[in-house]
Amino acid sequence: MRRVALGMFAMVWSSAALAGAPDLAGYFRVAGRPDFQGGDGRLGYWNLYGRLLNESSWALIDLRVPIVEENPGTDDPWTSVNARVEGGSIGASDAGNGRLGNLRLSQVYVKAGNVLGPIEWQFGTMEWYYGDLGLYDVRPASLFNESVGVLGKVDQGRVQAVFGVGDAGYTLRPDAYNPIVTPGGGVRLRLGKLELGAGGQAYYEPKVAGKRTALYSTPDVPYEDFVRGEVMLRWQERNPSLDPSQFPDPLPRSALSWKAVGYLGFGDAGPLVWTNVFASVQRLHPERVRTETFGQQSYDVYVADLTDERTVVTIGQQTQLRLVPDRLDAVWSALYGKHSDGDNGIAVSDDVRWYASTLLRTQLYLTPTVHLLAEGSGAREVSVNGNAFRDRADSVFKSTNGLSDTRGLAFGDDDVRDTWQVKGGVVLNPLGPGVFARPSLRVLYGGQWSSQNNAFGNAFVASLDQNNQFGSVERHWHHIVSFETEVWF
Amino acid sequence: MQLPHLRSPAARCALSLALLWSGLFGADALASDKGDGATLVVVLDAGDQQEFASQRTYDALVRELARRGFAATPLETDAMYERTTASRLDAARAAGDSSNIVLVETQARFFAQIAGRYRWTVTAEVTIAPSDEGEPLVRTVEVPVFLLYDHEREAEALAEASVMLARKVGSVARDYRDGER
Repeated sequence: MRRVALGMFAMVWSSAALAGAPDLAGYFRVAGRPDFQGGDGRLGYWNLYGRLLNESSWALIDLRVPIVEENPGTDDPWTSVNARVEGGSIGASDAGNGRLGNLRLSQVYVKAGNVLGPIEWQFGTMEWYYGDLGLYDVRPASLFNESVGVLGKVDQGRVQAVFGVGDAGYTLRPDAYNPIVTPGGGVRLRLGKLELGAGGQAYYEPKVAGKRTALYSTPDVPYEDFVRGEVMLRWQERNPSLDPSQFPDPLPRSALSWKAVGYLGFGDAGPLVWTNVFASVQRLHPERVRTETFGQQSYDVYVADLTDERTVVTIGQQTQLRLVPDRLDAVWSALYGKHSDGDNGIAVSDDVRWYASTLLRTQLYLTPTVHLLAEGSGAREVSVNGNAFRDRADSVFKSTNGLSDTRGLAFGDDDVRDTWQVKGGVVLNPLGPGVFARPSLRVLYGGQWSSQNNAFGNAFVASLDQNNQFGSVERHWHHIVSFETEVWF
Repeated sequence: MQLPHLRSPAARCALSLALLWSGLFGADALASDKGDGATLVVVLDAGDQQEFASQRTYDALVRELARRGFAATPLETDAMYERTTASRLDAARAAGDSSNIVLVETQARFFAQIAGRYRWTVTAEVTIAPSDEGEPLVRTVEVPVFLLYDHEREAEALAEASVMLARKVGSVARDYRDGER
């Protein structure tokens, strides 16, 4: 892998001698957040409460080399190559300490235009999206994120179309490749200050009998046995006269999953700069295998039939407002997600839940370069199949109907987690006003109240064992101060 | 001197903030009238079309040039739809009445979608010349720009680049003033 990466970079730099000037873009986010309450430096668990103070380090470098420069206004062929390295670690700011193993070559593609009609071709990685919920760092209406292949784009002013086909096998099956073909496309209509878009993508994994890493399903596995990791145990109980070697062979399967996305955008009216609304419905691709241990032996249970009814609905909006030009801006955003699993009616899981969140950020410009930032968010997360959260220091762990049960399929004493956050502080923006102007140098305070006990990344000993030397702490408030910067270039 | 209506701490704080605010925001406006005259032209070459820059870009450039000792006057004339630098310079010389010409010819090129944003590169060829036939100073500068929305294109990229572009043009103006041609 390293050789391939080095080879690609060498290719990029050697061709640069014949090309236009290479252009380097990037993004860095780095923070010092000493956490006196035992956390890992993030205010809450995840970016459902807003990315600000809930995300940690990120580093991204994107290199673009125009091999033949585009000549606007002509039909001269042009081509360029992009390569992106990114990852979530920067020295001294997180547990990864900036080790390069935390980074990856996430994007490499070559673009070419004026070579076949009005289509801009992109071969390589294919990431494409209608837009971004920047305050959440979420992009529901995205296509081809997992794919490598060919993408065609046509932009004729009022109509923009994108279509492509690729292979997502290495993304969805990194350790056990099987081809997953991903045809799809989308269209965007621009009607003045109104934009509409819709698109979709399929994921087709063919049946490949005899291939160890293809998709299979072990027959006649009850879901409860699967979720408890007791498939072999129960099979042996039902078949005491049989040897484990007679466990049923898996049956080859094909799979077809899909994603549909929608987009609505409007704005440029009074204080409204722009509103983006995104929606997506995705049938998740089935998983391949779980490994169980029984009688000191490992057994593979092939789970395609047990994981092929998982659906995720995501809807989000972001509205950017210029309340007092060059003095006060605001951005309001909201996000809803519903995860359902037709196979799972019994166990608490991230695949069976819903959540809703809203947040508002305001930025007051004391001077062009000195700003005050204030943000607040509220979120509710609900586990559909029972309790999933521990609200108290002495809450139960595995449970059934709120009562301690070592064989329970629920967890804790609450099926709802409510989280409120406030954040505020001073922002220095050398390039002037703008909620999204970067670089930003920020000194921020963040406060969180959550119904869940210690609802942030931490290293507490969560145990009710009498031999727990460290004790259990109950805490619903979490405070952090952050010295951080974020830069795009 | 003690003003009776400023006895309360709140009133004193409000006055202090107001003074601080006016001091911080007023500085640039005072400087714009000073210095040598300069005719300022900013052209955006977008495909086979030419556009003038937005007011935001002109404002940033006028402020920055004032800081560098040039009292810049924006000029928009149809002659700027010429395609070559030389013809644009000639047109500015003919239409303007300042002792210097600051011609900023820009292009904006899309770079990539990166982490939710649209990265553009604004390239500007900056030509500063005396309004007579003197030798011009020519520099090329680049400004990276991140836009939030797909519908934002070349014009928005140039507007977003205004502050950084102005500072880079200001550096060229400083060199021009220092005689580095």
